[in-house]
Amino acid sequence: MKYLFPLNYGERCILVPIDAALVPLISGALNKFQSEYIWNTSVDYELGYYAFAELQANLVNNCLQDLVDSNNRLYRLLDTSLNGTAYSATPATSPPPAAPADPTRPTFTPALPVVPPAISPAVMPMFALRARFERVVNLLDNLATGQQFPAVPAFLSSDALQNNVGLREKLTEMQGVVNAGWFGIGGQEATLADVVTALRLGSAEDKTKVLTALDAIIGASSSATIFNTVRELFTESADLGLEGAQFVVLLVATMSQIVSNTFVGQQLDRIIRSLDGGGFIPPGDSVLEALRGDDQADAERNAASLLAELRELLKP
Amino acid sequence: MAHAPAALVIIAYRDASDSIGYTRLWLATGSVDVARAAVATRIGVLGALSGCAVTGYSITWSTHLSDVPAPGPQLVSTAGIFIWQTATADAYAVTYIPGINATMLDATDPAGLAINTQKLEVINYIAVLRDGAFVNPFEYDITALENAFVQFEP
Repeated sequence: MKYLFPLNYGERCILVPIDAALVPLISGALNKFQSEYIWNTSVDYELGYYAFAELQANLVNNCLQDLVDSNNRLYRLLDTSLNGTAYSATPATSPPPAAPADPTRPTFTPALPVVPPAISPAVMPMFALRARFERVVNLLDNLATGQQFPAVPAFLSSDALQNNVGLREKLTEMQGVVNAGWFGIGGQEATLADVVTALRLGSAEDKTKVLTALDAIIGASSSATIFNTVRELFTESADLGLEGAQFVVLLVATMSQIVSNTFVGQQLDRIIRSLDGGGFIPPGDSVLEALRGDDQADAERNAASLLAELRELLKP
Repeated sequence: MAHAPAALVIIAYRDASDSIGYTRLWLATGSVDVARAAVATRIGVLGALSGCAVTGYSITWSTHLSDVPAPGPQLVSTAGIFIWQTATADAYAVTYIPGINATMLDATDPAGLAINTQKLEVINYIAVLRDGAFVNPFEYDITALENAFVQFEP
C-alpha cells in the first residue's frame, strides 16, 4: 500500500500528551515513514520524510518548543514592563557543534531567572511600571501627608520630594482666620459662609456703609458733598474687592445724573424767573412787566401792533 | 579494516502486483561518479530483458572491519535518533545510531530520553555530520542538530 502525503499538511496542529516513557516506542514506530517505498511518489516521499522528521523532533520538545518560546517571550514582556529589565537578542550565527544554530531562536540576555529577582523600585529603570507606580504613590503620599522621599536618579523627574506639609495643613493655612485681633492673633477659622458673606453686597457691614452713604447724599447741601460721599464709598469698596463695587459704580452714575438734572433745573428756574418772575402768580419786576406793564396783552395791544402803528406815524 | 573487492549494484524491478525483484551486480572499484555513470549507461540494456519495470538501483560499497570486536552489551534496538536541520528551511535529515550507549544519554529531564549533546563523543559526531560531507536523502547539506533522543527500532 502506498501513502499519499496529505495536501492540508501544516494547516493546524494538535497537542497530544505522550508519556515520556513511550516516546522511544512511538518514535520507532514512525520510522517506516522515512522509507521511500511506502510513499506513492517521490514528492510524497520527500514531504513525508520532512513531516515525520519534524514530528519526531518535537517528541522531546516538552510539548512544543514554540509554546515554550512564546511563554518566554511573555515573561520577558512582563519583566520589561514591570521591572524594567532590558533584554537583548544575539542571533545564533556561529554556534558550537553541541548547540547548533537556529536563526529563529537567538540567544537572549539576561537568561530568564527561576525566581523573579527582588528589585527595589528605587533602583529600577524609569520605564518600569512598578517604579512608575512607586513614584506616583510617593508623590501622593508626599502631597497628602508631607512624608518626604529622596531623589530617584533613574527618573527623568528625579527631584526629591521635599514637601513636608500635609494636604490638611496646607488647606488650613489657605483657609485663614476672621475677626483676628492685633497681629493676627486670635479669631476663628474662616468658613465658606464667611467667604460668601464677605463677597456679597448683602453683608451687614456693606449694607451699613451704603445706607450711610445714601443718607449723606440725601442730606448733602452741594454736589461737591455728594461726589465726595460717593467717591469715598466707591474707593473703599474697590479696595476691599467687594462685589458691591459694581453696585457703587451704578450708584455713582445715577447720582451724577441726578446732580446734572438738578443743575439744569436751577438754570431753567433762573430763566423763567427773569422772564415772568417765576411761580404760578407772576410777580412784578420782570421782563414781561417791563414790556407790557400791568395790562394783559391781546389781539390789538401787543408789541407787533404797536410797531405797526409807529411805522405809520413815522411815514413822511 | 578491509575493503570488499567491488561495489554492489542492486537494480529493482516491479510487476503489476507491486512485487519487487532485484538484480545484483558488482562494479569494479572506482569513484562514486564513475560508478553512477557506469550503471546509468547500462541500465537500459539490463532492463530490456525483463517484463517488469525497472524502478531504481543502488550502488553500495561495503567495508568490513578486519578485527571485529566482541559484541557490545547494548541492544541494537535501543537506538539514538538524530534529527538535523539542513541548508534549506524545514528540510530535515534523520540518522540513527543503533544501540546508543547509555552513557550518551542526558541525566536531566526527561532523564534517559534525550541524548546529551555536551558529551565529547556526541560533539564529535555532530561535527562530523555537519562538516559538509553528508546530506539528507534529497541532497541538502546537514547544517545543525535539531534534536536527538532515544528510540526503539532503529
